[in-house]
Amino acid sequence: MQVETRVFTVSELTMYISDILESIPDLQWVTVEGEISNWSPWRNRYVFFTLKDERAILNCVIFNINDLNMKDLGDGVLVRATGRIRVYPQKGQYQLQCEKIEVVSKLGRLYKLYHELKEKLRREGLFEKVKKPIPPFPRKIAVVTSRDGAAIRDVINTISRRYPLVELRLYHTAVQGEGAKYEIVRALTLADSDDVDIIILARGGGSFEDLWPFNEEMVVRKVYSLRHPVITGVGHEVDFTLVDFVADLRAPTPTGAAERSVPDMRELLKHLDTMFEKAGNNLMRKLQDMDRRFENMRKMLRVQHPSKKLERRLEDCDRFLKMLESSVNRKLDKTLWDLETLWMETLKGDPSDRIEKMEESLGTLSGVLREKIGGRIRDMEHGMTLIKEKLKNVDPRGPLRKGYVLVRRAGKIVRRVHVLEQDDNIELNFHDGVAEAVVRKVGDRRTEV
Amino acid sequence: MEIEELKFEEAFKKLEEISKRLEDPELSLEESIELFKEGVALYKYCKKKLNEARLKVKDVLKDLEEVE
Repeated sequence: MQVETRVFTVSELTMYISDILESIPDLQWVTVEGEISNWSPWRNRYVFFTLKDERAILNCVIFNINDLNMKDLGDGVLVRATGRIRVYPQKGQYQLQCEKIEVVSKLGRLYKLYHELKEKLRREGLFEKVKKPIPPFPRKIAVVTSRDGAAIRDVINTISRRYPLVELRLYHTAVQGEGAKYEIVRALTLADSDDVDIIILARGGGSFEDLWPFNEEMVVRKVYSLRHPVITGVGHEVDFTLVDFVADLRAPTPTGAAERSVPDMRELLKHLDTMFEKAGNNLMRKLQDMDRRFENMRKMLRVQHPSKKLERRLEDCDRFLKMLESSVNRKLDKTLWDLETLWMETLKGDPSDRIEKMEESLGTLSGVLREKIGGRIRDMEHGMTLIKEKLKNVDPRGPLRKGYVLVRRAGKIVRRVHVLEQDDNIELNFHDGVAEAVVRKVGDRRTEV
Repeated sequence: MEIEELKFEEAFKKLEEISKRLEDPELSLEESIELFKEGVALYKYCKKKLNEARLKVKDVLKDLEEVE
């Protein structure tokens, strides 16, 4: 037998549920205690948020924000909210429309945990860890984050733009929710065993709960114990997760972490340009200096070159010759002038007088000449006689004439008596002939023959 | 060593060294010119490396998972 079943449209069913909920008086003015999370003000008019405890969450909305003291409210605050339960058909959700909110504790449970753990780790000295230096030119960078998140895109874009020489090695992990902490620890362990230069631990912005895995003790301790330098970039600027305190470098965002992990190529290029310009200038200066020195040397050489000296001497000679020439010319001119004057004077007189005068001067001239030449000849004759006398003195025959004799044996002149022996045949040379003789006895002056 | 075999950062450091050494006034002209030539080559190499580089991204765990 078929049971009659009523078929609802989605709207009809939603309205049906709405009617039921709104007909329950207890739900029309109800007070709920829970911790605020996902606090999202919308254009200063509404605030959407959730209230939660360990097992459940409740969507909430505040419409009359002007009636409430908002400044103490936000994520993690434990509150008592009063209002009515209403269905929100468009989302298929029920929600608490709050009229009144009372703060129970500003530190929510998670915040409490956060501060307790932070204090514990601080006392242990984990935050005083010696920071490892970040290598300035990394080649391999491990990124521990979700392959589906915004963080990995930010990291890739940033490093691509700044320093594309690296290899990025993504170690995927869940970054929120239950179990994320185990995945993060596993990914960090794998990344640390890789031969990378830097590890980036990143996650995009989110609520305090979203970022919670990065406050988990096992994750913080793992980050603390990594061999490789680690940069954290979790959440937004204002968020401080506990991993930030044990990282070698804390960046405010994933993009920030990427920026700090690599140098900026454009700055490097600029640096290269500067260095190079400087090097070029140095070299230029050096060349100019060399050029100057070379030029100086060339000048010095030109001045001191031997050919220069010779040239200077030649110039001196030239100058001297010119001087000489001009003085000789002057003298010649003067002589010619004198002669001319004399000639002109001579022409003025009577022709016979002229001849007489000329004969007279010719006579004088020849007289002078005869005298001078005669003297010269006498000088020469005298010189010749002297030379003859001198020559006579060196003639070897001179002494022979005086009675000396030249002795030869076998054609050779004998200068000492002791080279002679008895019965030697010798020649006696006189100035007018030769006599042959035989030595009878040889002796010195004391045993004169 | 051939420049082409150098890693970028090695070339970069070498270039920095050369640039420092070129500031030494005692360095002879010949040495300066040699160093400068080497510097030019390194400079070009560094620029080329930077300009030609493309970021490599490897999803390590994806590869592992696919193997598994």
